[in-house]
Amino acid sequence: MKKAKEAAVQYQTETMTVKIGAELLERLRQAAEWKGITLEEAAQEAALDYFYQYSDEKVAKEQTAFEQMRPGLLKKYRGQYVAIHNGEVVAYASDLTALTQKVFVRYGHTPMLRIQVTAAPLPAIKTHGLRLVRNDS
Amino acid sequence: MKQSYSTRYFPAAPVLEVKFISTQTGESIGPFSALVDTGTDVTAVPMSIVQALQAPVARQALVEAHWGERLLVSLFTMDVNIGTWLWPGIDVIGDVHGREVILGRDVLNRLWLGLGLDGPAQIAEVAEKRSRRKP
Repeated sequence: MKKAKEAAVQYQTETMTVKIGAELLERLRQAAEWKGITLEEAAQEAALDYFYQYSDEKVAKEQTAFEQMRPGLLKKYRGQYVAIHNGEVVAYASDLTALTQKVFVRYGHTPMLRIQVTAAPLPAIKTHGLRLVRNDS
Repeated sequence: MKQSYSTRYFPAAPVLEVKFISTQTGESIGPFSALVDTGTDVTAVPMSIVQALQAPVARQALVEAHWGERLLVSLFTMDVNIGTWLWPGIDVIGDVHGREVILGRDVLNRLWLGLGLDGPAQIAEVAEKRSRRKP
């Protein structure tokens, strides 16, 4: 955890100015006004949306690579947690917390797949909860 | 630890106060009132919590609802804290649509806890059971 905390300080970056076109800026300003938030908040929200979209796309790709590598990984890492970055195993550990801290120290907030090496793919997550919709909601 | 059922749900539902902690930095957020949902496999949190902790993505998974609809979701790693208990490195669903925290069986089954649900009094209680003794 100590190394991870040190890394967190290291990965904290200062604010910076980014130039975007006047037309796009105007559209963003209109969107912010409509939502009742500031231009800065809208820009932050847009950047976060973009980051999570990229993160989802990258992790999906890493997961496809992981499925192809699974038979080989089983021989070396069965039961362990591995981190897959750009189609390669970059770290492994016996538990998810140790792996998460290890890759954070080395790669910061770079999204990558972190998954346990098991013989079969993990099953779909199920939810059995049914909700009544109230008329006033 | 006792907590009244939430009347946000109809009928009223058991909820527990939960905090989430960054696995990377130890930074925490909460408490949030979380629905105790033994019918759900995996805990889910709104994306605002994921973003606040800068929780790292772990993997993607399909979530299947009771009637078979499927949705692709991302799981994010964080530590989960209820009362004096801390579960490190839990993969939770980052919910892009909902605003509720839902405690699934991945957390509820994790420790040997006594979970009391007093329906008529509308109180949820978590108590640590006495430790098992070897015969």
